[in-house]
Amino acid sequence: MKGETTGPSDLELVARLRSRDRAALEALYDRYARRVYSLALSIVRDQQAAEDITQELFIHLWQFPHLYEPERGAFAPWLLRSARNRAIDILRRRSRDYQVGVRFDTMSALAQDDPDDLVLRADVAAGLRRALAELDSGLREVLELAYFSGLTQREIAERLGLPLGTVKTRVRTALRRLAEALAGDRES
Amino acid sequence: MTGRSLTDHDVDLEAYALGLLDPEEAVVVAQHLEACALCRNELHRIEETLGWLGTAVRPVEPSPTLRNRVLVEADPGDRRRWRLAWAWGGLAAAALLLLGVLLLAVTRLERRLDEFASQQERIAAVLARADWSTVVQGEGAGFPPEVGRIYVDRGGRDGLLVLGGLERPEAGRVYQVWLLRADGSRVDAGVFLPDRAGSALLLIEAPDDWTRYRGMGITVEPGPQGSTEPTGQRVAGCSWDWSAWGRS
Repeated sequence: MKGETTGPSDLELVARLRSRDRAALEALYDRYARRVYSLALSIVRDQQAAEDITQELFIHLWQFPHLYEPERGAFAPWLLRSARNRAIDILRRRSRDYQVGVRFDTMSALAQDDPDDLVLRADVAAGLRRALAELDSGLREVLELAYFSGLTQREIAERLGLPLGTVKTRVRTALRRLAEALAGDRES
Repeated sequence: MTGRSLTDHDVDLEAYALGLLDPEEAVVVAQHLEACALCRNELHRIEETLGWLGTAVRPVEPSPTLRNRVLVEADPGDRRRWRLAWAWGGLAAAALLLLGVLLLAVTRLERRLDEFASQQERIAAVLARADWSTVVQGEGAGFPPEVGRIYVDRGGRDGLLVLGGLERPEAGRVYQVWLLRADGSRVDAGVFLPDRAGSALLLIEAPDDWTRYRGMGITVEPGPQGSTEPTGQRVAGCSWDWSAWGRS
């Protein structure tokens, strides 16, 4: 599955947003809202807050579509990174009750009939899941805390009883392996 | 690269992109990124990886009503809240305005309390999200040509001022930061005093998205709370032009 889209590309839809084409917003919402909401929910663990993040993100995209700069990468990861940033920000402002124990899902999210995987370049997403599944538990644990919890490196080190340098190395190593896997998938 | 090895920077860049660094470390990375295209490219690669990681979560459907809420709020033309306020008439609009001011005051107070507790994390997070920055130029007598940088997340309202080489203002006075709207009006963005070394780190929470502003200025005002509008000499500032990213 190569993830071909069945309609206008993300780039075309974002360009149409600049022309105030509401149908383009609807199309992008239908493609990505579930992804955005799921990611926000996995971080804030609060349905209302996750919906607020999703709503604010799409409204912001509608108001300022030019904030997405295609030369800096694909639209999907940009949108999802924005969703994570907003969710982590809310988590940190709301309380010190950090979410611990959230895990990446490497198994269930690639159903063949999953419509938004068709537009999320399923080859890239699948390659990332494979690379995640191949990370040893120590690397993956640190990466999950770093990605979902809102903890700093020092706090992760304290929580896991690891030297700070070990946490830094694990974060770096885990992300490098994922980046290499993504680069490999693009070249293959 | 400025005398540090690529390996060192790679360690910092991953943690920087995730918002995991302490603020002092994050500032060092941010300043380095300004001068190093190689590291900027590497950061973009890491950011894209982080974005794809967002696909590796269990998919959950949002409420069916959310779609409609988004589309209603994105109604073409003026924003919905403005249309509603207009329809309700002057009295209702005034009441809403009063309520809005009160809510804003309460929200800002709460936020400031929260910020106090988590400022260190926020500085690192703001820097990690910042996708644009520019030089803050010294304008007052005795100020260096460049006194620092402002880092902005154009997709949000947070920003960070990193300043140095500032003289401490005379007793009873403070520096006050103003954001400049396109219509020329100024918005208070906070007061500060530099430390003994003349440095200051100031988190800015803009009332509106950064795309609503076209510049920033710093004046000397009566302390400790500053002024409601600029009264003192402008000593530093910068301007920018979002039109390059403007809607067609």
